[in-house]
Amino acid sequence: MLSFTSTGTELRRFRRGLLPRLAVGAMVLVPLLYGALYLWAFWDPTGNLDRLPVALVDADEGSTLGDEPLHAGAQVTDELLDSDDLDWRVTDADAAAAGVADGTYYFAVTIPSDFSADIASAGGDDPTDARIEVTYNDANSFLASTLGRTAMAQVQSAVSTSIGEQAVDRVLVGLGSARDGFATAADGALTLRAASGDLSSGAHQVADGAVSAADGASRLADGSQTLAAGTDSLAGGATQLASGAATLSDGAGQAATGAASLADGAGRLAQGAQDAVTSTVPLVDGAKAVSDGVDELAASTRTSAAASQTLTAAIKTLQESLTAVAQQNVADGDMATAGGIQQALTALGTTAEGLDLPTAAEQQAALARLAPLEQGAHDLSAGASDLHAGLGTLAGKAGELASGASQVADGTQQVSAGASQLAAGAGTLAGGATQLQSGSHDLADGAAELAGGTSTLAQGAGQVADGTDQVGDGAQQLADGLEDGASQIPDDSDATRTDRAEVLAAPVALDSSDVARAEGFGEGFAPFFIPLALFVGALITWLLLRPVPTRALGTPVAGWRTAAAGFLPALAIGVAQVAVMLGVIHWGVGLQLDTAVGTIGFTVLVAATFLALQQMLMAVLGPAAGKVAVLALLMLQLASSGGTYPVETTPAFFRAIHPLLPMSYAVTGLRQTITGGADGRLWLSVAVLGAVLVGSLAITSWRAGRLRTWTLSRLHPALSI
Amino acid sequence: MTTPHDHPQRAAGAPRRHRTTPPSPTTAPTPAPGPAPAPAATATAVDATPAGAPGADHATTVLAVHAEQLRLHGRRGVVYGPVDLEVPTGTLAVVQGPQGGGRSSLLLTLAGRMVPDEGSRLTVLGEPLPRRRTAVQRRAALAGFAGIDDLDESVTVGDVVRERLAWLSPWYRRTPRVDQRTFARLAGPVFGERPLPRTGTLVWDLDEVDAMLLRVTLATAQHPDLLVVDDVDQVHDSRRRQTVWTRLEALAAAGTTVVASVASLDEVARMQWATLPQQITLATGPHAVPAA
Repeated sequence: MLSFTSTGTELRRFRRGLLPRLAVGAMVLVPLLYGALYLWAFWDPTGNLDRLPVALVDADEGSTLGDEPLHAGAQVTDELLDSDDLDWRVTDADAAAAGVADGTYYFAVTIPSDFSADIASAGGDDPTDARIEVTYNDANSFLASTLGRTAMAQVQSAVSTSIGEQAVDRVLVGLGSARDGFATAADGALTLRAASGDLSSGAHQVADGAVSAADGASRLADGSQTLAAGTDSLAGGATQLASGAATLSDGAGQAATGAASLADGAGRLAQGAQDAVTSTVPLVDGAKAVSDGVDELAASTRTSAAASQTLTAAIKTLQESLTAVAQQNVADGDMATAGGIQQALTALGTTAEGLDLPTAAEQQAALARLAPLEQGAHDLSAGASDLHAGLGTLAGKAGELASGASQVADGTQQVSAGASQLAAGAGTLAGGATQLQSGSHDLADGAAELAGGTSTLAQGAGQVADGTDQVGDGAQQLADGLEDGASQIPDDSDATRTDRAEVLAAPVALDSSDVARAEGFGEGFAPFFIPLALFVGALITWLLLRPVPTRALGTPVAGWRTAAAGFLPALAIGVAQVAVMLGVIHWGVGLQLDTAVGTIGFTVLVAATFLALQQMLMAVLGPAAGKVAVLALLMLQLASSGGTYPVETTPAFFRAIHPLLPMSYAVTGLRQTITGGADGRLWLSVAVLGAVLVGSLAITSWRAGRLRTWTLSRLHPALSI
Repeated sequence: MTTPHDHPQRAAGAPRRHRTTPPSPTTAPTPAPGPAPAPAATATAVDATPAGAPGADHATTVLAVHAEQLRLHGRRGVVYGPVDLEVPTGTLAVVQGPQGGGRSSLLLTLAGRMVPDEGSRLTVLGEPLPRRRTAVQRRAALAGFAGIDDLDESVTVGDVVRERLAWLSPWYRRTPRVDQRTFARLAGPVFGERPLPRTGTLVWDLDEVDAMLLRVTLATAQHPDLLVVDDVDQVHDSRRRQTVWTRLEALAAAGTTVVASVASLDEVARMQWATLPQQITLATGPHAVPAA
C-alpha cells in the first residue's frame, strides 16, 4: 500500500470494544435507515389502496328506462365491490357520515336517490348529469384524501363509461328512427321535385304561348291601324268620286250638243269642197302653159349667149392672126401690106365694138335672173295640181267627218246618261266609306289594347315559369338535404350501435408509452432517498472520523496528504454504506436496477462527493460551524433537489439553487441509472459531481496546509460539537 | 534516579541532520527585563541557573531559540509574554506555568505552529519566525500536545508507528508493517534502558511513561532539531515523571534541543538532573503566581 493511501489508525481505532464496533456499524447502516427503510415504507402505497376503508352508500331509488326498470345504483355498487380498488364498506348514510367524521372511514361515496332517474333522463326531455357524491375529511389523512380523489377519478371514469354506454345506446336507437323519418321525408321531397318539374314545363309553355299571342296582337294592332288609314283614304276618294261623277254628267250633256252642231258643219264642208274641185281644173291647165313657155325662153336665151361667146372668141382669134401677119410683113419689109392689114384690124375692132356684144358676165347674170322665173313657173304648175288633189281629198274627208260627228253626238248622249248614274252611285259609296272609316278606327284601338294585354300576360306567364323553376330547385335542395341528413345519421346494426355507444360514452382513451418506466413509488423515490441517505451517512461518518487528522497536522506532511488521510478512511466507510444500502434495497426491498454497474459506480461517486464536500466544509469552517453548514446544506438540498416534486413546481428560490447543489445531480444521475434512459444528463451529473469531489479535495488540501499553524481559537475552541 | 541512563542504542539511531554542537551546559541566564511585573499580563520570570558547567564560552554557543519580547494576545487577553528567551542548541529547557498560562501556545510558537503578536522577535534554528514557518515545521517536532498528537487508545503501537512513518515517507513509497526491530531502532534513543513495549501492545495497555515516550518517539521519527514536549504532568506520578525528564535530558544531550512544559512551578527543583535545565516560568493573568 502506497504511503499516501494509508488510512493510518483512523479506522483501526474502531476495531476493539463493543461501542466502537457499533459505531462503525452505525456509520455503515445509517444510510440504510434513511434510504432503504423509507423506500420500504413507501414502496407501493397506491398498490395497497384496497386496504383503505371507504364507506359506500347506495341510496338510489331506481327508475325506468323505456319500459325496463333501471337500478344503476346497485349496478355501480356491484362494480365497485367487484373492482376491489378500495376497501369498500357498504353502509347507510348516517353510519357513513359518522364514520368519516370519526375516522372509521377515510371518506364516503354516496350514490344519491335520483341516480337512476338522472341516468334515465339522458334520453328524455330534461337530461340531467348523474352524480356520485364523495365526502372527504382531510383530518383523517390528507394523503388518503388525495389518493381517494385519484381513485374516485378512476371510478368516475369507469362508471361513466359503463352507465354512459346504456344512455348513449338509447340515444342511438332514437337516432335510428330519425334516420328512417329523414329517408321518408327525402322521398316526399323528391316527389315534390318531380311535380314541380311538370308544373314548370307547363308554365313555360304558357309563357311561350303568351309571348306568341302578344306578338300576334301586336301585329293585329299594326294592321288595324293600317286599315284605319286605308278607310280614311277610301272615304276621301269616294267623296271626290261622287263630285267628279256629277261634273262628268254635266260635261257629257254639253258634249252631246256640240257633237250635233259638228255634224251639220261637216256636211256643209263636204259640199263646198266638191265645188272647189270642179273650179280648179282650168287653173291647172293655165299653169301648165306658163311653165312650158318659160322653159322655151330659158332655152333660147342660153343659145344666144353661147353664140355671142363664139363670136367674141372668133374676133379675138382673127385680131391676133392679123396682128401676127402684120408684124411679119413689117419684118419682111412690106410695110404697105402691114399698113393695110393694120387698118383692116382697126376697122374690124371698130366694127366689133360697134356690135356691142354682151359679155360673159352679163349673160351669166341674165341667166341667173331667169332661173327663179323658171322655178316659180314649175311650182305654180305643181301647186295647182296639188290644190286640185287636196280639194278632192277634203271633200271626201269632210263627208266622213260629218258622219263621225253624228255618231259622236249619239255617243255623248249615252255618256251623259251614264255619268248621271255614276254620280248617284258615287254618293252612296262615299256614305258607306265614312262608316267603314269609323269602324276601322275602333278596330285599331281594340287591337292596341289587345296587344298591351297579351304582353302583360306574357310577362306574367314568364314569372310563373321562373317561380315554378325555383320551386323545383327548392324541392331538390330539400330532397338533397334530407338525404344528406339521413346518410349522416349512422345506419347501425345492433352490434355496431353497441360499439358506438361504448365509444361515445368514453370517447377518449389514453394511449401512453414510456421511455423509461419506474415500477412504482419506491423506484420513483429511490433516486432521491439514496443520495439523501448518503449525505446523512457522510455526516454521521464525519461525526466519528476526523475530517482533518490532527496528528497529521502535527507532522510536516503536505496538505494534500493530510486531506487524503482524512478522506480515505471515510471513503472506505462510504463504499461500505453504498454496498450495504444498495444490497438491501435491491435484494431486500426489491428495487430493480436498469444498470447495476452504473448505479453502483455512480452511487460510490455520490458518496465520495458528499464526503469530500462535507470534509471541505468542516476543514474550512471548523468542526462546529462545519457541521452546522452541512446540516443547512442538507436541508437546502432536500428542498431543492427535485427528488419528490419536480423542481419547476417549487418557488423561485429553490429553482434558483437547484442547479447549484450536488444532490440535484445525484438525483438526476441515479434516476437514469436506476430507471433507465441514460443520456447526456447522466454524464453531466458525473462531471458535476466529479468536479465537486476534486474541488472539495483541493480546497481541503489547501486548507490542511494552513491548518498546520494553529490559532488560539482552534487550540481552545470556544464551541465544540 | 541519580544516574543518567546510558544510551546503548544511540549508535543505531539515525544520524542527526543538524548535529552541530556537542551538548554543553548553558550559562546564559536571562533575567526578567523589568523590576516589577506588569499588573495585568505579568511579565515573565526567566531564570536559568546552570548547575554544573561553569559558563565557559558564551560566544561559541549556538542558540536554537532566540526570542525577544515574544508575546501573544488572544481575544480574551494575554496568552503569554512578553518573553525574552535564549535556548542553546542541544539543551533542555523547562517551561513552568499554571494551567492556562500559555505554555502550549508558547511551545507551538517556538515550533513554528502558531503566530506570535506583531513586534515579537523570534528566531528558531536560525530561521526567523513566523515568516519561515514551513521550514521550522519541518525541523521541529511536537509531542504531548492534547488535541494534537493524542493517540487512539484501541490501536496497537505498531499501527501508530506505521501511520507516522507513512506520513513521513514520500507518498509513492510503500510503508511496511512495523516489526519489533524497526520499532526498537526508532524508540531506542527515546526509551533508553527502559524496556520497549511490544508493537502489538494496545495503546490503552501502555504505562503513562511508555505512552508519553511513545509520543516522543513518534515525534523524533522525523529527526527534529527541536523537540517541544507539552504537559509532562500528564505522567502523573512524579517518579515516573523523573524517568521522562531523564530521557528528555538524554535526547537533549544527544543533540536535539528540547523544550518541555510542566505545570508545577517547582518541577525543576523537585527533579534530579544531570545538568540543571534552563527554567522558563510563565505566569499570566489574574492568577499569576510569582516564580518560586
